[in-house]
Amino acid sequence: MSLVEHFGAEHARLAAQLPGAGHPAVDSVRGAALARFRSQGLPQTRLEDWKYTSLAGLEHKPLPVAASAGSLTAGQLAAQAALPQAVHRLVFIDGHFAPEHSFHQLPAGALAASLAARLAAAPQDGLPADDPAASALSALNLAFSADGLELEVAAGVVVEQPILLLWVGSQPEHSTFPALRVRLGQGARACLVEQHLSLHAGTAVNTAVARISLAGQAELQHIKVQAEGPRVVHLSDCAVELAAGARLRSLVLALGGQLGREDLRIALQGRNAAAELDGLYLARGRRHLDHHTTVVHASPDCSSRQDYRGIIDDAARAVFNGRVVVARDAQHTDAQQTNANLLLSDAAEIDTKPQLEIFADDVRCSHGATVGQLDAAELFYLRSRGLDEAQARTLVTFAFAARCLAPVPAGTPLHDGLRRLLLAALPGGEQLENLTP
Amino acid sequence: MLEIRNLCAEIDGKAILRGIDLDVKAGEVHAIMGPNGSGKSTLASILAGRDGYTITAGSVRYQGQDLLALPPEERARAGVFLAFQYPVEIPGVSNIYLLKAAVNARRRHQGIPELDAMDFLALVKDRVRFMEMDESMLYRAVNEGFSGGEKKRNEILQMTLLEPTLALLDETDSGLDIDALKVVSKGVNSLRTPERAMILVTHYQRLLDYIKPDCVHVLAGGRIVKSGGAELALELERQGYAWLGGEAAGVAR
Ligand SMILES: Nc1ncnc2c1ncn2[C@@H]1O[C@H](COP(=O)(O)OP(=O)(O)OP(=O)(O)O)[C@@H](O)[C@H]1O
Ligand SMILES: [Mg+2]
Repeated sequence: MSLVEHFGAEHARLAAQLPGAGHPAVDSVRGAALARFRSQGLPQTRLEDWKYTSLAGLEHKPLPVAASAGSLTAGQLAAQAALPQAVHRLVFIDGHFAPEHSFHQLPAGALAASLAARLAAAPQDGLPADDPAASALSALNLAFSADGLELEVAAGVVVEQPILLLWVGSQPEHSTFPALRVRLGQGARACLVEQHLSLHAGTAVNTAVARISLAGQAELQHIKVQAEGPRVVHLSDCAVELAAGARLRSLVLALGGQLGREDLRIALQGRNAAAELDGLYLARGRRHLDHHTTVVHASPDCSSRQDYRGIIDDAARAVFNGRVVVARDAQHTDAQQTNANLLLSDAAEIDTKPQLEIFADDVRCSHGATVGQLDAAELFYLRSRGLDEAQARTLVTFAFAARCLAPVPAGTPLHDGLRRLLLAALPGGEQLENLTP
Repeated sequence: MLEIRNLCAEIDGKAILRGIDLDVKAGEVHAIMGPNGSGKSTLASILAGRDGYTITAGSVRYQGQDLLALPPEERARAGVFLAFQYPVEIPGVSNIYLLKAAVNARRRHQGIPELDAMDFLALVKDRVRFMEMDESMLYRAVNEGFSGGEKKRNEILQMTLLEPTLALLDETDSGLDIDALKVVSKGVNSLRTPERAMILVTHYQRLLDYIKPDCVHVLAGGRIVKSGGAELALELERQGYAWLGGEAAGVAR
């Protein structure tokens, strides 16, 4: 059975029991999404955007859709969460909301709801339509869309503490389809920390979709941590729309998985919107990590800054493709992009490419990519203080990686938590406790 | 303690050191002066174990062992300390972490128990006060965003914690204001004991007012062209390098 047939059969098996099923506003969206996936299939390497990342391996491994949540203990979550002491925590297990592990103290005007609950209560509000600009994977996600988080922060409302959103894979041999929708009203502010993790070492395919919209002057810090198990395929598409004066600070940390693909698509639609995108991919062993960013400057006076860093070791492979589109009337665009890579072994491989499409004339756009080894001066300095070579290498590697945490205020539990995850993911990192700068 | 014999070294086929001979005994302080580009930092770096140099001839013995055969971390643990002319910034790694790792690496080598967090903190705070530094420096990333003078002070802070047997100070006085120079000198002098030795690379007699050397050497064109007592530094201050003739004059030009 081909993968397309497999998911067709899965859909036939599950469609009637998906939340909101039977209501035309829901069924039509899922049906159209399935039809698009059927006609396009998995993205193929002959597509320019998928040139270096082959999903052919998935064809041979049709995994059933996780129709319900597995179980886990509170201790398992606390041990791995980026923010162990979160005030607001929403947990989804195998894509399904887990109220027993979730809690929050969101202020009035901020609403965090399970998509399943909302679809059951108000199916007439339907599902958001399929985005044809996204890959067929997003359509597949929508076709099976059963649950996820809908976060709405009303105009002027500020959520002070970070909201921790945990997507936990508890069962191997499953396909999961988490969905995230975030809407910030005029001038609203929030920080959302999304973390994908696996409690098993088996195979799984996690196809995630996030749709975020920021009204005028809204500010969102969005942190996404991909800390999947060693045999998990993580495929993600996140699209963010910014109205005038809105600001997005995005940080993507790809620390796990066997194969990871992150599509991050930013649309700067109103004047003076600003996006700051930081990223880190840590590819070790035979891991394959692919980051495709697209920033569309659709309005004048917007700025975007991208700083993606990669550490590629062993026989791992990484891809960075940074696309910046400046529309004809997007004058005074300020777009910067850098991509720095550390290649730590002869067998490691990186393909990095900027892709600038500039149709306005009064713009400042810059890009730069580097591929290098560990800084010899830094290594020597540490060794001259008595640290052995392996320890010095780990520290310098960590120092390179830790720069991506700059947008997270130092000294906060979030900064500490992210640093801990980073250390845990680095070779030899567990020896480096008490690194607090 | 340190015996350098006919040390010759090159970088990328270019000869930088061309036959250095130097003996430093325990308890002594030697100053090395000389024109820019004459090889002073190269000598200090080679002693500390930086790679990238080809040793084409000669030998270095430190406490009876072949120093050049040791990797840099083993030299450090054996008591060799280089205060860098340009201290390196290590973002993401806190100063206190590096200090603790360094102190405990040395203690392990000496076969004495490592300091626990409390004892280490007490020790490091004491030295920070002695160096008249702000405690907040401990929690900042190593040298990141430190001013030139703060970096130099931080080097000496590391030195006072590591208590090296052989300290190599490469232009630690450059870029220091008068007060900082006094504090740094105080740090250096606090380590002057009959068991330790120091080599100070400097361009200025001023430092030697505070740290009185036993010997002063002029390094020029990769060789030591003149050696003398403390008075040689005064002579150089008055007359520059031209009167030495030959290579010293040529390179100084
Ligand atoms: N990595 C290198 N590649 C090529 N040449 C080098 C390198 N490092 C040092 N040199 C050269 O070696 C010579 C000696 O340099 P060194 O830094 O030892 O001088 P110095 O005496 O310390 O000078 P200063 O007083 O300016 O600090 C210089 O000509 C310098 O350009
Ligand atoms: Mg020098």
